[in-house]
Amino acid sequence: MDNLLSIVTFLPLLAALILAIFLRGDDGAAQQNAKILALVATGATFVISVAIVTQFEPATTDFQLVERFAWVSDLSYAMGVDGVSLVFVMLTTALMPFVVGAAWTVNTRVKEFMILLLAIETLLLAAFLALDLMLFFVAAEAVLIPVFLLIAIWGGAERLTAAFKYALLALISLAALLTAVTLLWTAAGTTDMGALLSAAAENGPLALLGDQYTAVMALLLGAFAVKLALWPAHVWLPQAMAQAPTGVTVLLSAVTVKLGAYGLLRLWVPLGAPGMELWGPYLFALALAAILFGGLMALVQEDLMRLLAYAGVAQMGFVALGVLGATRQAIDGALFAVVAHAIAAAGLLILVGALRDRVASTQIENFGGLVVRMPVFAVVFMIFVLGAIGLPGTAGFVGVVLVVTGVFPAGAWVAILGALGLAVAAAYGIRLYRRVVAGDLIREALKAIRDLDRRELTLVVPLIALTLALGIAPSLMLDLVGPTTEALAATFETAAQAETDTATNTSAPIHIDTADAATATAAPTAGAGD
Amino acid sequence: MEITLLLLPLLGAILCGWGWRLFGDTAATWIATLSSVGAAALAFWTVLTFDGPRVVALGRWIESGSLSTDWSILIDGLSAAMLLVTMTLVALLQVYAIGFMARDEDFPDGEVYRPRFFAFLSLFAFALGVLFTAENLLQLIFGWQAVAFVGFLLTGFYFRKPSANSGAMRAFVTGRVGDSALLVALAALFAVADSAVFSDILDTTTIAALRAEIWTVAGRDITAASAVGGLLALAAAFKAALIFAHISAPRSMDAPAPGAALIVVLGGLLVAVFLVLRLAPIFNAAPLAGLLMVGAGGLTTVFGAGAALAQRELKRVLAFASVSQGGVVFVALGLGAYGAALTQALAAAVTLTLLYLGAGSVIRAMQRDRDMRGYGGLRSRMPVTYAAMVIGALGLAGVGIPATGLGFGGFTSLGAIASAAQDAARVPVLGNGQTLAQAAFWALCISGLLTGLFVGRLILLTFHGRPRGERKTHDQAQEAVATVTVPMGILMAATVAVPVAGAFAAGLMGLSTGGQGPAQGLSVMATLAPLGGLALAWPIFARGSDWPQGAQGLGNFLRQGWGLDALVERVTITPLLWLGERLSRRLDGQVIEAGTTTLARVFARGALPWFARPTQDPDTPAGGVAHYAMVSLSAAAILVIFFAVRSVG
Repeated sequence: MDNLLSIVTFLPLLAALILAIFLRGDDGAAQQNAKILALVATGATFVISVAIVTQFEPATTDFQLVERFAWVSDLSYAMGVDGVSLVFVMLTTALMPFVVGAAWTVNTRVKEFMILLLAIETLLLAAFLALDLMLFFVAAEAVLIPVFLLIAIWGGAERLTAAFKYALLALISLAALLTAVTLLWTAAGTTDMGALLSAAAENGPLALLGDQYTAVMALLLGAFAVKLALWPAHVWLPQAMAQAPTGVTVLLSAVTVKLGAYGLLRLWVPLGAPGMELWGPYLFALALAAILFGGLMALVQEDLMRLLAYAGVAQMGFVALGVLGATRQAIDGALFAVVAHAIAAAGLLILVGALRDRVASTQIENFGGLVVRMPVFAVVFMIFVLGAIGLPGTAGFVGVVLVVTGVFPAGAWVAILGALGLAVAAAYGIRLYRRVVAGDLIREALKAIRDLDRRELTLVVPLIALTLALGIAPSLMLDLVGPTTEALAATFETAAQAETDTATNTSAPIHIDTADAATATAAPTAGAGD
Repeated sequence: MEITLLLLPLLGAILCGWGWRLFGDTAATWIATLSSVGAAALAFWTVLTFDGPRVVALGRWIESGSLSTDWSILIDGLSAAMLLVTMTLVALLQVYAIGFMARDEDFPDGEVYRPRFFAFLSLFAFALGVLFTAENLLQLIFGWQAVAFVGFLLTGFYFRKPSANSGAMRAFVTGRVGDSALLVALAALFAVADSAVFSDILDTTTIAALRAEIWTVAGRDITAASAVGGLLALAAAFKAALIFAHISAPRSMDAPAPGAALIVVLGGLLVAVFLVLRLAPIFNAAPLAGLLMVGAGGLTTVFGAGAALAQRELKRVLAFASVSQGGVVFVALGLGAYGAALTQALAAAVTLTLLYLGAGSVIRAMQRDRDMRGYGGLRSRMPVTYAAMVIGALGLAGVGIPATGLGFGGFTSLGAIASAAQDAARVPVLGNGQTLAQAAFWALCISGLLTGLFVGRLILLTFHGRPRGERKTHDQAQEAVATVTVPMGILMAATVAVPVAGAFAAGLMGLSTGGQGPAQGLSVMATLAPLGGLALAWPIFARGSDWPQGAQGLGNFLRQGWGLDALVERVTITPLLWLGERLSRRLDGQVIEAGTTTLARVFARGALPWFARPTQDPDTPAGGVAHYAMVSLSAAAILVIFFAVRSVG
């Protein structure tokens, strides 16, 4: 199968087309058919994507299974996979069936809903697999449209505000990424990622980008920070999560947000070494602010969805910390944290969605003592909370341990504050559990609440198995990504080394205006690390 | 066989916790208990057949570059001794719990609760097993955090009770701060040793590198060994609930008595000691960590004993007693008197467990009234429990005949620790720590006095004098069933045997037991102090009256942990919640939100006012945002076209 990557990528779109053309009517049967078709399509995509893993050779650090065709002008349609993108691709294909499953309770315009979900899957896969900068840009940014529609049409009472706020920030991110991509294109004379990155590795990112280095890096960081919902560019997330239907919250938090992590790993890490030399402490402070502030804000939320959104902000802070640390352990940790958070967040959101289906509320004050009537829910909820706050036995533990270990060389204070973020995480996770699940059940409205039904159990059990499996046997994933992350860390290390040598050997290193960068990222770094 | 030893409790937990629906809850509790008994037997066998350290690798775990770790079982003197203590105590506690948990009014009729409790106990044993047999620091951390988590589950066992839930949460989150310190210590060690395996971390080249490397911490240059040692000491101090981190001990007291004993004694004190003994070469290279531990230990032992003296609830007395014992052990660890520290920790483990079991028996007999002011005169009604608690009290205080080796529980080790402090005060073992060592010695004497006083008070208020409180309750009070009294009997024997067992265990792991003989010179004072305390207790508390009238204010102060409980809360939790509120409402809700809106406004009004007209009223939130979004969308489209044309052309 020479076109394996394209097949996987476009299978969901094909299913969307079939839905659009052949499915008629909006009665119950048609709705059910739309759901089933979407489930089958995402399931089939996952099954076929397993072939990518089996054909993938971990020891090779180059892009594999490459496909390349000429596209418009000198752009090309190029796809390939390496250890980093493999993680994101498998994450997407594995979680999309759960997204569809979580959206099972949607009952208006089901066909359109499923079409949009399937389109998003294709766009995400295309973004993760693209080897061409422009293709990456187009796919990554086109996600905005279906997500916007999903929130704006199927969301809660304040769906329009939430959707437009999301669109606004996504557009800022779009503009930043477009400018950065264009500048990269102009500088390197190619949009081929492989060629671009090896050119950067060969002569150093500074030689490649010259004066525009600061601008490019700031724009990349800004663009991906918005996608990753990194503090303070996270503002779109809590509202979007609070308004979106359950399936979309899972999609946003478990998969879409991860685009930012992928972008950072793909473009920031290979190019970022000279930047870290200059702005390292500020950027670390930013990531730590995300971890600590996100955690503290999660601690005081009164709405379950918003709480999980802020918890996600803190978790993505950990991912950013790993990316910035850029050692082997830090990058492995960031990837692991991405997967761990995706699984835990998907599980928690499905559970919160289950509560919303029963009580029509996500306000914490309306719950308490659920364990009395919902013992299975209580156990499952606890496992996902543990996964989210990084307790041993879950995948989350591996992620945080690797990140903290990996960033220590960058500064003990970074590791210490990051590790303290775990204490904050424990506080919001356990407080959430205590207020919602533990205690006596005294609210009348909850006296007759039912425990998880078969559909919900089918959704959460594989996620539990996955988080435990990765927590106990992390080599399942680390073996696949290891050589790629090793090479990535080595690239960063070499570039950083070259940068230090230049700085010490020549009297006039290339001037980079740090103030410029600070304004461009619009990143108040005030005292977060102190 | 090691694998069976380790996995038996896990198997018991799973079969009991999940399988009770299949074979009924009584059978499930027996399955858990028998699996623990089996594990205890295997632990005995392991110790008896021990012939040098060995590692059993079970499979790969986290592998990321040079951070390469396995799931593995390390059996050496230390882990074998720890496994023996753990598995035996858990087995005893489960046998006890069969009778103890038979009825529980906190759960409505028909609600099954026993399998959950027994599964938690077994899970605790498993977590401790993983921790003690770790061959690398990562697995140790795994067990370390797992122990804390099962402790959280046990504390929150009565999930309907608000105090249990909030206590469990606070104790757990407090512990997480210590966990952070341990995690950073791992990162620091990995940065120096490029490995997380103990044999690499603790070999002489790494230790030499740790001594040689200088790190700047808060403006001061210290060796890497001191930095790492300090972090490890901090982690251990949080685990052992030393002063400032002490709140986790009294907060855990909502766990049923066997669970409470596990949490503070095994999961707290013993685990902390284990960390220091396991990583002893690092501590030996870090005099700063030693100073820290002596200082914190000395302070804590007086603090804990003082607070225990004023508690009204039986279990809270024991919670602060364990805090105080943690202090004693830390003084020994800081002085490098590892053999004495281990013996003292074992003594504390056995005697405190015995006291917890006795306390549980009393509280059950008194219809769950935990307040000692309602007790009195229970001696004749509960003779076995009385005997158990008297032995436990004598062992806890370390009472014995001075100038001989004859005494209960921690008698010999207390003398040894006092001698070590005296030695350190004369010879600079700790760098410049002579004054500190001298102070620690006096702290040991004072805390010995206070310990004698508070165990005397506990016994006198509970068992002597005339019955107080409700008549009916007292009339119904009776001795517990055999499954409750037999484990107490075994622990009574153990209390007497601790000095021998401690010396044996220390020998097993090649620790020096020097100074374990009769205490000499000034050190005798430390062993006399508990006797003095007991003698003082009699006239004050014998009539069953609590604190004398004139000292109520002092009592209240001490009862609230010398006023620290509220203070710690005020300087940690309150400001953090405040900050979270502020960030959420002000920064997030107003400033950043206003920022994004302004951005859109500038964009819309300034750059492209002509391009899009508001389709709705721009002054309503939805209309406004819609307006700006449309403007932005159009702007983005223009940008796309602009750049596409420029780049291609």
